[in-house]
Amino acid sequence: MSSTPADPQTSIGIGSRNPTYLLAQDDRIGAFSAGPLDFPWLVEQMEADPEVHIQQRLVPRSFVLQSTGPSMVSEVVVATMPPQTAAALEKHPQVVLEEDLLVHPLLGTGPVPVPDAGPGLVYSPFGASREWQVDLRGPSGEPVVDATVYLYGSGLPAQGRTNQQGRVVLSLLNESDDTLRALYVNPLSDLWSVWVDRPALISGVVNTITVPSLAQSFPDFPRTQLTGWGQVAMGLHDVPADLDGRGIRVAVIDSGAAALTHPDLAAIRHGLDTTAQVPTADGWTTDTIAHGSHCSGIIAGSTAGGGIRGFAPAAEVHELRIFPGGRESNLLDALDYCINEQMDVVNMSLGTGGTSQIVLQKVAQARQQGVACIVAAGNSGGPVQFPGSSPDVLTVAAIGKDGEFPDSSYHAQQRWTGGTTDRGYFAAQFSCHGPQIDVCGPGVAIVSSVPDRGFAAWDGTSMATPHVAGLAALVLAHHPDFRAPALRERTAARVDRLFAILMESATRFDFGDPTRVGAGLPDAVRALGLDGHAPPSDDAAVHVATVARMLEGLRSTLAEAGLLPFSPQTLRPETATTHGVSPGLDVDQRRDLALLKAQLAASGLPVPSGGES
Amino acid sequence: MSTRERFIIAGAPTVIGPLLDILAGDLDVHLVSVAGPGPTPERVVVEMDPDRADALSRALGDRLLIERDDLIDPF
Repeated sequence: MSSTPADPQTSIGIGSRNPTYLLAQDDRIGAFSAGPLDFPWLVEQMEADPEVHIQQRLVPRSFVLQSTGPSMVSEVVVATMPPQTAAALEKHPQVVLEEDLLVHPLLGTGPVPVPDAGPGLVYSPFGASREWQVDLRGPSGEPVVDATVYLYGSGLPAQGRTNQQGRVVLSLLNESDDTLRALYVNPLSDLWSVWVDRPALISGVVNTITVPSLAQSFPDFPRTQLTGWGQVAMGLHDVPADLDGRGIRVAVIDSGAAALTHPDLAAIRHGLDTTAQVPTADGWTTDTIAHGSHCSGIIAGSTAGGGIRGFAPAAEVHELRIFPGGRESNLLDALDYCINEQMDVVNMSLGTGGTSQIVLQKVAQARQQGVACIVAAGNSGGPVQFPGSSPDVLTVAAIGKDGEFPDSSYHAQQRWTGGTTDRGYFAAQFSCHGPQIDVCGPGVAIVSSVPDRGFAAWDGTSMATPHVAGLAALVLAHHPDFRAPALRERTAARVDRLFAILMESATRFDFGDPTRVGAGLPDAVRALGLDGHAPPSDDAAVHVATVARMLEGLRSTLAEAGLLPFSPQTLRPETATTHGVSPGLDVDQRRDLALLKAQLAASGLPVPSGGES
Repeated sequence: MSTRERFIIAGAPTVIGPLLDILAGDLDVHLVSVAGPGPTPERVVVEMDPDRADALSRALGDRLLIERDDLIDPF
């Protein structure tokens, strides 16, 4: 069974409140071809419309005072209506229409400052508290237990977990039914998430929400195996089943995996738990946050009927547990394991906003020892996080695809609205981006395994990364290049050639910002050479890959320093060797570039010629 | 009142080894873990006062890397 879910089109039982608007006529603006506006007649039509509710009609007490501004408004109508009705009204040039936004008292540094609450948000403990009771039901009316529910007003959201009856009560201070901004339901497993803007919840009564199931979108899942939209987008469904990653070792540095309970993870037999006082060989089978299980399923999902299809089900997967509570020292211990146990690929769906020279040196050492680290870019929507920012790793951003999730789900909020879609794909708004991005991967509404035996649809660059790590395992196992003597050895050249193959195979996307996708989405058919293209000769492949990787690192450094504009055309090795520097540099920039090249040359690194004159 | 924080100290075994001996006898330093084979450790994790870590970094900064052992997050 492939993806392309059937949207259940099931009502979740709670809709969005219509927004409230301020409507007025400004007859100083020319009516043009629309003709003069008869405002009283317009208001009569609104009163007759059952979807429009007029709350107030504001008439200034002093008509003279109101007429002294640049425009004159004789009456303001306050009304709730559907957004499409407002859009239709706004078409007349003399209609002034604005959303009636909430305003907030600007308190001083009050008694309850909240860290990370955002600029200007401080909260007073005074005021009236109100409660909303939410009952969650599955498609067949069964209670949804242990789902996390968030209710958003003007400040921090209320958060709760449904009980055995599927019920949760959430309270907010100084909010009312009309000021609720959003509702977010995040179930544990087997159900889609739910997001409702301006939820039409009523305080004091039971508000019942029906949560759509994954099975409604993927008939007969999980009894019938699902090939996720991400695997399909990367061409995995066209890869013969006997190309399964056999003989390759993949490490997942994460929260462990439910290998003892989940059928899709049953083939995972190796691991280490670094969270214990003394690292143990068995704690990794306990995954308290499900993150490692989810990532591992994408890589290693069993082919033994049902569940999800992983990229490399026959790879030897090692679970290195560092979460919850992981620190850089845990990551270093895990990387030491990868080096000592000769892992081929390492999935690192993790990071931090800081940086560490010690970790940088360790990932550089890993690359030198032939360990290919595939790292998530981060989910803060800003610059690439660390260690994804390291030049010695392959860094993965996240993309999504329209039609792969219900419109009522939280996944529908993940589209980057600053860009465009391309063939139905979009950049994820949460995905970190920048010149360090090498490739992108499927990271919105990704269905994979969660403890104990369930499945959940998650978003994140964490989900994008194992798609690429799994394909990397397939390439190492089955691409003819890696049978050549030079690339069988565990060296940096092997890692560089692997990364080059993944990037060269990629399907390009144009979302309006190339730093959100890098080279694009790696393609399994092209990466494995199944499309009939002959691989380059052994020695040439090694040399070109190594030089290309170094040049790409230099190019990224220059782009980040503002000395070189970022351009996807310079990502290809063949163009990187022929294009030195953008001709658009001024004298100072060329001098700076010459100095930088001299410093790099003094360090023994190859440096492309040209560009300074 | 000073509070201890966690630091990673990394360097050549010829430096880390003797440093371990010194830190082991310091009551103000809590040794959390040692990485690297017995006679040639390459990295230690300790809990110590940040001012102490600064002083150590100033004294041996060209032979050691001393960094806060920060939390990392799953993405």
